[in-house]
Amino acid sequence: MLIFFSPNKIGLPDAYANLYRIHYCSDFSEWEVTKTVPLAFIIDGKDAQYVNKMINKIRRDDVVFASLCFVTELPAALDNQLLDGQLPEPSALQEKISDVEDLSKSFKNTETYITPQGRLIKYLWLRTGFIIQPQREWKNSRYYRYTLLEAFNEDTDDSFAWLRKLAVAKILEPVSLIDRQRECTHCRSAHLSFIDICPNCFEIDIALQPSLHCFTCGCVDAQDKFLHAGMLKCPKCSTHLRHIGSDYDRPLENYQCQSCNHAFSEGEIRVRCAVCEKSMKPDELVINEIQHWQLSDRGRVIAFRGEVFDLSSGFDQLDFISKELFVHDLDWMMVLSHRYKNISFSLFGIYFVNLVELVDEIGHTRLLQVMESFAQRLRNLLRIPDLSARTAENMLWLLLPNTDKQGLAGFHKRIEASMNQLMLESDHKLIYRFGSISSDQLSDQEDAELLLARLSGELL
Amino acid sequence: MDPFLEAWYVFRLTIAQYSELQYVLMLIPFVLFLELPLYLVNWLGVLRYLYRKKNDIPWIALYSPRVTCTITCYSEGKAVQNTVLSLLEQIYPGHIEIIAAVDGVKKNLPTYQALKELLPLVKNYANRSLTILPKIQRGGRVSSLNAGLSRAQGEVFFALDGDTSFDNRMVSSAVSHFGNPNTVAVTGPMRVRNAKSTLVTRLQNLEYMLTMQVGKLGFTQLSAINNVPGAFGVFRKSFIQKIGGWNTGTAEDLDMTLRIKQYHVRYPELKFVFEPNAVSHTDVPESLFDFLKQRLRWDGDTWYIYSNKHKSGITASVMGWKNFIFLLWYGVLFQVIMPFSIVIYTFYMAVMIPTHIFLLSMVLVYVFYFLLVSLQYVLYLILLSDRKLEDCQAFWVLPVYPGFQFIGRVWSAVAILNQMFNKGHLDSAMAPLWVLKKGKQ
Repeated sequence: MLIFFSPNKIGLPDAYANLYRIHYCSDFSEWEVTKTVPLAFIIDGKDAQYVNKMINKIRRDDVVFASLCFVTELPAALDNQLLDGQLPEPSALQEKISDVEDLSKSFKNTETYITPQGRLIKYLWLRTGFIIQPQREWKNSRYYRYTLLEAFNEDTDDSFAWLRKLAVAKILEPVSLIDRQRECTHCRSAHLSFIDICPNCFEIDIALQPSLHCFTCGCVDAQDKFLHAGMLKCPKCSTHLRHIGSDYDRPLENYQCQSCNHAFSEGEIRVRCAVCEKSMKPDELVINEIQHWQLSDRGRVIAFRGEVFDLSSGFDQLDFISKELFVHDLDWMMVLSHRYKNISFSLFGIYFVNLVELVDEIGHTRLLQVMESFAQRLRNLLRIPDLSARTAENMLWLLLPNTDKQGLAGFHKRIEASMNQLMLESDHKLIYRFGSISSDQLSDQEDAELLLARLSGELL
Repeated sequence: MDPFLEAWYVFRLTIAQYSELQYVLMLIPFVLFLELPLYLVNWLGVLRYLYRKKNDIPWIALYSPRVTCTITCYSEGKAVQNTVLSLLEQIYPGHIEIIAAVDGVKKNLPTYQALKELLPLVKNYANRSLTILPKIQRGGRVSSLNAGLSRAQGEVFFALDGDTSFDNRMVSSAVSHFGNPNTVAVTGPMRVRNAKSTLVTRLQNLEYMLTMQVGKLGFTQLSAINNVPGAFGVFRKSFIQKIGGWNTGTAEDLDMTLRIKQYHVRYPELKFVFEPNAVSHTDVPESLFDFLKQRLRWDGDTWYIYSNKHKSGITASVMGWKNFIFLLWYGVLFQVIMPFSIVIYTFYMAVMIPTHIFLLSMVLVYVFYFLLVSLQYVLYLILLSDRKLEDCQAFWVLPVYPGFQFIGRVWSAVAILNQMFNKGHLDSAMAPLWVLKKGKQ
């Protein structure tokens, strides 16, 4: 069944009516009475405003948000991100509908699609190769708008922030950079005005002051003071200045402040936001890179698997520090133990070989529980000064200060014991490797980066 | 030393014995009939100018129309920026439209780039505009000038060279003459910008002072200008357009001057003006070889124009008696016949009279020219020079100058012969061969 929205009660050509049952509605509320899910929506494209109203309602609906939507004709001022284009020939329409049906069969309809993120994934999953593009709108304070993101997430009015979250979660990936926009620090508006002001008193009243520099006596003054009866004559030494470059030139100081008389070559630039009217320096502006986006591999995995296994949620209680900080601290420890022989430390690496494959075998909920209980036990093993970091999804690093060779062996035994428990819980299917080194085994030439690279090389 | 001692002996003998004076008399037609009167007339013109300058009421023109400066650029590179900058810096209340025509732009990209670098600078100047005219097909200097002419919006058209820069009063002092509706062309003194580079440029510097400054000033006072130079000529645009712009072929500047002169009988009121305050500075060849190459073209072209292009135009009925006599005297006699007579005369003397007497005559000739040049130079320094301190530097090359002049004259003869038998006008750096061939052969 197709649903045809038209304000003027016109019909579709017979070619379509022969293939599909067509239900005519003049308004969205008329459809809402029955809420039958059609194969596709078709909207009468005569009136752009009408199309906009309809399409926004469809995309915001809980059930049909991802349905195919065509227009009979494409008005110029239309947002193509929400539409699937012009109504194709009946045969092409059939093809498109069956494509979408296939894709929606492979889409795993868990509860996730209730969330805006799940809806977006479904929308993108059903449209292979869809590129999320921003629209330029000068009336908008951000100038760029992602209308698709706005339609799917009505909870937030900042679709850029949501986009950032989606990018961090690696659901979307950038395709191409289209603009690098400077935005107001305070309100993120892109409507900025740049003014040059006096660097001395910060007044705006500055003027270009043509000046001359006499080579004979070095006098620099306003050009007017040199002009006498159609000739240039130095006001100080009365030399007749005839030729630029040989008698005189223009000094670099070309601007003069009208309020403090300061002469300067380059004014200071201030930015004034047209929306919040605050003023700032150009280097304080926020740089917003405007990009085209598409569904990432990870996003596609979520689409057909319902959820992707994410170690980070299982290890949340471990208080990881960033890799950079970990490397920095490790470096410091290495320097320290090299200088003071009584200071010792150990580095311990845990590598899970088949974590991703395990999702299919024991299910992600179960695996998450296993990992959570492992993290719980690991936390009990660690002391307060111990540091932990994660350099990959399945690679953990522990930095254990004041732990020599003996202490490391003890730690190894304890973690081995807790691993046995883990093996039981995962039906002995989890494969893991340990790698460790204590400070007295270190070579002088190595630094933290090299050490980590060497150890992870042994583990992989 | 023997020949010199002998020469000195003969000199004394000549003074003592009237019969030997014939040798000295041989020198008289050499200079007396050809050169001295010319210099005399020239300096009378200068004196007339000085008298007028002192006694005439200074006339301040309120006339400042939009003017167009067309710069013909070729391989000047960065140096072209000086030219444009000196035009931007003009003290002139009217609009100066600068058109820089880059000929054969693909080959001369550095020049084009140098011009493009200036574009942002132009905005800082009120009433100045810069248009860059990249010409992909090389068409020569004439084609650049005509291209500039067809786009020009100013009333006064400046035809300028890319290696020439100007004093900041150039435009205003040149334009002031166009307030008189009869003025059709203005030129001004050309000074040598790279005088300090080599001995050859120093010598040319002195030559420019005496010919381009004194010579042109004097002759214009007598309403007889020999040439409006290509590197710096100012014209009334409407007039130039009426006579069809520049004509193809080499020495387009002399051709233009002669064509304007040929209007003299029909329009006797048309005027050429030399404006001493419209000073231009140009680069001259630095090596003797380049200098000779330049003169080979200049002097050869002169003959080409006189003997070929304007063969039938040089008559008193077309250009008037004054112009005709001046042209015969200065153009034909001085520039064409004299080089040959000097060569033949010197050769004749060297062969026919005893060596010691020949040497003596040469010494006499040298002393005569040295005195003549020195006198002119001192007069110029005192009466005319606008940069006295700078011009004093030329004092040191005075002793060498007569020799330089002699080489120049001999070379003129070579150039004319080259033109006569070798069609030298087809070998010019000013335009490609296919363009030159389209000119009258």
